[in-house]
Amino acid sequence: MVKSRFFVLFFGLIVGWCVIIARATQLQILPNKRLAELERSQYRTRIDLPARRGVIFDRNGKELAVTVPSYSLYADPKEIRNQWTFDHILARRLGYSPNFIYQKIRDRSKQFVWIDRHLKKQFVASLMRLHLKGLAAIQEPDRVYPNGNLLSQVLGFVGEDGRGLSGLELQYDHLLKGKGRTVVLERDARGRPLLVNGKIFTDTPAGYDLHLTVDAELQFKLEQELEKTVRIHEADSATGVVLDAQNSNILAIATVPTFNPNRAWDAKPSLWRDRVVTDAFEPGSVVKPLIFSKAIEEGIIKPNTRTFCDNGHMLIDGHIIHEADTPFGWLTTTQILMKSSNIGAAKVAFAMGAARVREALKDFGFGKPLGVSLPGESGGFVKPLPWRKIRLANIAFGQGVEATALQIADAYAAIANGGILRTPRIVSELVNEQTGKHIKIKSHIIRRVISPEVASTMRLMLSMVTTSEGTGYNARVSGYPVAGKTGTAQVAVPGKGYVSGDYIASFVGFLPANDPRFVIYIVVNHPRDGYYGAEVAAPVFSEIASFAVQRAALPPVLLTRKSILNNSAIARDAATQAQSIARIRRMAQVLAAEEKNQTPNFTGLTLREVLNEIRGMPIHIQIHGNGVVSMTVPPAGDTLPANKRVSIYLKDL
Amino acid sequence: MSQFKPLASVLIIIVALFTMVFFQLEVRRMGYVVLKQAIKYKSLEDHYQLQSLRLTRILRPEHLQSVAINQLTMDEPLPGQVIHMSGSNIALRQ
Repeated sequence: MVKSRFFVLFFGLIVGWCVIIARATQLQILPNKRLAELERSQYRTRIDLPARRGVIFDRNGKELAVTVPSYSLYADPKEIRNQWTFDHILARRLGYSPNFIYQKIRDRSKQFVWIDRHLKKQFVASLMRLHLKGLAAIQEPDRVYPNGNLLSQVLGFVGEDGRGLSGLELQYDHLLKGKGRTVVLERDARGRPLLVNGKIFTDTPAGYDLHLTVDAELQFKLEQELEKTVRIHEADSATGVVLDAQNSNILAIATVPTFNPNRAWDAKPSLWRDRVVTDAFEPGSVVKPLIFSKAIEEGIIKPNTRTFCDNGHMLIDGHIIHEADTPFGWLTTTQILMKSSNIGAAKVAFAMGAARVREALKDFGFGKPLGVSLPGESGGFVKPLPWRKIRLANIAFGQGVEATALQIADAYAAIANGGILRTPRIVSELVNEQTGKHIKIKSHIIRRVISPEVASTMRLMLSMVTTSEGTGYNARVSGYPVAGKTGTAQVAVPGKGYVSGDYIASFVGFLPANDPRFVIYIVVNHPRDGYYGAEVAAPVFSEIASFAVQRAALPPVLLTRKSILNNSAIARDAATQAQSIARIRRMAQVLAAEEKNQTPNFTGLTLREVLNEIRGMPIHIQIHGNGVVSMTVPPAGDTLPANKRVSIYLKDL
Repeated sequence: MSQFKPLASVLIIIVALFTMVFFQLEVRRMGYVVLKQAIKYKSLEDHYQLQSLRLTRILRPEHLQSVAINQLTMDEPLPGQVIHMSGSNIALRQ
């Protein structure tokens, strides 16, 4: 009996040992994925290296948006021992109420709650020294816009999680954010990584840096002037854009009021919108030159074609069209632009016909987004045909057609650059410093809209708008010929038509008119103190244009002076020199004709130059002395006497 | 001599093993040094970024204008006050 019991016990033990050995063999020798993973996790660690969001630079390498390290505090409510102390100490240090902290940590089932984010390293370190149980900190990237409100609508902003939510941050989010990296390393008993290559810690993966065409200084000036205008004229808002006349690069683009992207959530969401590209509006008289240029291109009118402007009243389909201010009789095409005659523009549109006018507007880029790399670009609106006669007349002076400020500026850039419409460009280059990859973004040509000759004629005609008899006199820039057009548009409200007293004042132009470098468009929405584009928007244009030419160190161009004809800067090669001189001669002749009844300014000219200047003019001169002209009687700018006699006093240099 | 041969072999094996262990420990030790330096480098890089941000903030146009007008009592230049110079011998950006 005992023997058999021993046998059973022995047998049981043997079986038990066999089972253990078999199991041990299975675990040790046969492959097991789960166990292998467990084994690896014991001596391996994963380190996440988040990508640094790319920097946004202006054209001169100034940082407009950067990513810096910051520290965020979180709590594990389960770990908190003394809740009262925790609430009160943190509340005092962070500037919150104890209840605010309590509400965050009251749910003890949670293991992770944010207490505060994006704090300074020293501050977080001082909190950590308090050794509050349940409080911890992690490093997080923080997006900072060091220039505050500057270019805010264009740059946009990012959310707490670092994703782009508006502007360029949204448009280029996929390239800016970059790709983070996860590194698996062996670790020691204390959890420290056993390094194979130290570079994995020092090489931070990064997104692409964006290089913009915008000039931060010019941008600041534009925003400052727009803010001043909004304040002075008690306007709702104002927008402005400055383009490089030759390639449609955006040099400045602003909508005021602005917002601070560092605290975007404190601003009204309506301020986040970049109205220069998102808002289409009826632009008013600034469309006249676009239609006229096509009419000249097709031989329908010439700059000196005379049109009767019905003395200020024209009846069309039972509607009366008025001039904005003064009635006009006979005007040349140039004078229609100079004085911004609505009736004259309507008659030119009638001569063209609705189909051609529509085609002209479409050709200049209206009705379709230009393709600028900014989110939410609107294409504007050009109504489909057929148009009634009254609609055609209205469209001729910019009512019943919608375009964005960028479309209008770009259309004028086409006139300025010789007739080519281009896609405006705001991002010139994307660079990844880590990988060394460069993505160049080229300026795209959309189409040729008008011939170089017609563009040249239009530049000359538009330069007359800023003479003393034109509506754009306030847009003049001392030392530089300015070509441009005023716009005063009534605001249409759906169902009510055009509201009295609600206007959009604008001025678009380029300078120097003979060799354009800058196209500037200024729009002031709903000004309450004054409403004409000439009095509200044109002075802003002048300020911005003055700053732009000073910043670009452009030498002044003095028309009606001999020097302009020899200005080597105008002519870059022999062919263009001949063209430029001929163009400027024509311009000088026109300006001289305008000044027929005034004493020209001969100061500083030699006798030969004076004689050349007055050739063909009914002026008789009396010469006193030798050298260059030091003064004239009557003085320059005064009305000529009836006998047209001018005494010039020469002085040795 | 032949009596020492097995001993020499054993010694060589022992020395080789010790050397191997020594170098492995050295690799570990260097790893810690590199880790420490990498953390320091990272911290300096973060510091550099924060200082760059400070510099950018100081150089922002709004701040410069405020310093020029309020502290240096300077005025905005009027178009007539700006002297434009041209010519190949002038060291100005044209």
